Amino acid sequence: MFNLIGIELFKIITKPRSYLGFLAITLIILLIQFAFYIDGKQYLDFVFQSLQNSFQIEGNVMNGSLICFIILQMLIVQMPLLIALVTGDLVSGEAASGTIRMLLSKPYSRSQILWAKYIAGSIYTFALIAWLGILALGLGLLIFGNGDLVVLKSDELVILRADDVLWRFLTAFFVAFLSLSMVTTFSLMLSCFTDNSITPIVASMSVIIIFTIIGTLDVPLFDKIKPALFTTHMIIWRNLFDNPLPMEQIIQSLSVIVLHIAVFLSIAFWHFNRKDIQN
Amino acid sequence: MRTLLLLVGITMSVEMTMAQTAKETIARVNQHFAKVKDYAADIAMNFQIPGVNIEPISGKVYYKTPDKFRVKTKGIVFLPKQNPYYALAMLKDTNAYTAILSGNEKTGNSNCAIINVIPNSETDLILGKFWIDNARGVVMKSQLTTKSNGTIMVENRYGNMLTYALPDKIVFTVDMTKFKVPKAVAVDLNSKSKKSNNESNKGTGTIELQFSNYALNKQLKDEVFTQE
Amino acid sequence: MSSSAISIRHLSKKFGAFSAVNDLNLEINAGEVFGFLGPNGAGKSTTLRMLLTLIKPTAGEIFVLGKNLQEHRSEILTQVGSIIEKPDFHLYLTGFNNLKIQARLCGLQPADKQLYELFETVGLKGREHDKVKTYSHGMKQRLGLAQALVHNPQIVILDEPTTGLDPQGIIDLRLLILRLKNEMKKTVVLSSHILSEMELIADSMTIIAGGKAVVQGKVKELLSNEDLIIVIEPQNNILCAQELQQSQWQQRIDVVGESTIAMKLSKHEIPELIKFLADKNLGTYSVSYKRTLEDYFLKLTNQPHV
Repeated sequence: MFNLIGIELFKIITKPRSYLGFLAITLIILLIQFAFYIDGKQYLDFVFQSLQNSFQIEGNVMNGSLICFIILQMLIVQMPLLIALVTGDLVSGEAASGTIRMLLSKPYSRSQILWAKYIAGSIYTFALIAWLGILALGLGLLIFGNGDLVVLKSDELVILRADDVLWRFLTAFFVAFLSLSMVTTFSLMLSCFTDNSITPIVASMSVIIIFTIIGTLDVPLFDKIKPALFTTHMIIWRNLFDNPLPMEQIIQSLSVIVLHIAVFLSIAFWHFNRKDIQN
Repeated sequence: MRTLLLLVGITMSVEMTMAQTAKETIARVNQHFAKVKDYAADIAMNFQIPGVNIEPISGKVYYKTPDKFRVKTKGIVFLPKQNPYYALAMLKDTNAYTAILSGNEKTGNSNCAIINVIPNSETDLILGKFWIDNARGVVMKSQLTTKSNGTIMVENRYGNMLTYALPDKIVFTVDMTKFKVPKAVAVDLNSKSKKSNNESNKGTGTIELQFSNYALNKQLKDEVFTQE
Repeated sequence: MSSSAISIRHLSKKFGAFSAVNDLNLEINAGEVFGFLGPNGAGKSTTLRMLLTLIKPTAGEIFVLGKNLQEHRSEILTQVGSIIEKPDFHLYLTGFNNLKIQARLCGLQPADKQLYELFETVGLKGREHDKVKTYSHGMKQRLGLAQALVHNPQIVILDEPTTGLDPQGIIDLRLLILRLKNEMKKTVVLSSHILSEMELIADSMTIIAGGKAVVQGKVKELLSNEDLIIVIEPQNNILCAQELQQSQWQQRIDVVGESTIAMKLSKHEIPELIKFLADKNLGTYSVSYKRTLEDYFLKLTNQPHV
């Protein structure tokens, strides 16, 4: 099994497309950090405008944690798209290129092969998240320093003390990884159903975009279906920055995420195991 | 006519007496406070600001006459725009304002004289109202109406440092509109919007400063107040 | 008596209402080159895919090296190397890395030296570290052969292996297949729709059409008595035609063209014809024959002897 995972990882590593996500993340993060380095004060003055009329705010507000949070906020919407680009291609890409015939006529079972692909895809997802963390948090702390985190929620401003922030970020990265694993399994599932690499990638992206739009629209009709959309639960990482922690909501969303992963994986395995390779 | 003159005379003499009494009361406050040239103390801060969810924080606080004041903490804090000694520093210069005793009121366990202070010249302060403990000669409460920041209410609680008129606790109440993160930068996509759970605080923000471990008159350097 | 390498019993595959393979029975002996023929869409690829577990049969059983394929899949597939349809590789990887992946998929950790030797065997020496996207179709076909052989399997399944190869490549492949059979004692299953190709290297063959076996047997026996179209290209076409008209070959002339003469003969009669031409001192550029599967197939369908 490790052998198979190693092979799948090797394929991902050597595929130029795999680096698009890393490149995009690097560019976006550096751009945001540069923009905040230059104009961050104006941004914060704008945010705190009304508070500054009544209070004097002291302390390092513009710090690495805040920049990381803002980056996470902006990037987490794009991450599923970058991930689907690779994971949506894991099975269908092999079908499209014809290599699936050689792969599936080897002594490994189809389940082993799909597990290896899923694990390799998850490792890629993890690597992308880790890279995001290193750049957004690590580099952010280096450039902007440490400090309390100001969470710009729409209904209130939550200020978390610096020593209370790191564990939240680490947990948030893990939760974001779980959320994105849902995208990994979703695109992998679609990938099992088609023999070209574009369809599952585009389909994954489309579903995510449509669900996110429905989730964002404040229309009463959509309020009822929002809890059923997996994208609704993908932003649960943000609740880790609330005070107090909305544990019930977090556990509920994590359960939904794990359930979705299980369902998507089951469908993928069921179909892949009985699929006739005709191309 | 004589009656009228008598009435005017009585009124003037009462006013003069009241002004005299107000100045005497303020003098007692100044006398207490004159013993303090500078101090450093530990501080614990607690915030109740509508729309802002912030944990308490502790740190160090520094003061030096006439009105240098600095709070140093490891995190973000909200402070009133006027420092806590703004009013006391102003009271020191008795020629700069007119003080009028406007009554008495019980504040907590203290019988307080209410003294209105009106600056004689153009300043940010429009009107100052002080509740001064008659027995102990310390400011229990003050209400400052300023041009720039509206009304600020300051309440003092005293303990061990009463002789120096240094409070153990100061509570600031500031008029404000409930803070809202601008929509352009707000982040709660998909989240269930919470209703404000602090309706009673709507419109005013409160900051509590709890002082302890005062170290008095240690000749603090000015750099303490300017260093980052 | 040779033992059975592959035994297919009552194998059927349906795609919806369409029956791609219908109650097919096959016996392939160990150590022989087996030709699996049929026109396009006859069911060759579907059968081979079922042999490699790429497609699940609707009914029937497959035994490989005496074991049931469904029950001993992994064990059996370690003994099978294959190219199905066309060899496809990860284009963004080098040929060497592609081959390494295939070896590792067979559970091997081959030394680089072994892989270089394999590249040499299939005629790709010097191109090991070029990306596969720079390979021609023929080169990919050669790399496909290398991957089919990388784990030294007992059975090699090659689906249309000469497609895209240049003439030298085709000759090399034939020699390699014969080497696999004669020196390495491997069983080779070849699928093709070109009968003449099979005639050169296959020991036995099966022709299928519409998912059913039309003919099965030893190649020599099946093809020896068949009439062929022999094409003579003489120096003097008219003189040659006159001589043939006046000889015992008269009845066998099919068509006299501008520069060639076509005759209907059995394969064993060809040496006699060549001797006749030489005796008559008729200068001849060539005497050749070509047998297409279509011809043979059409002929078979008119003769219900299967």
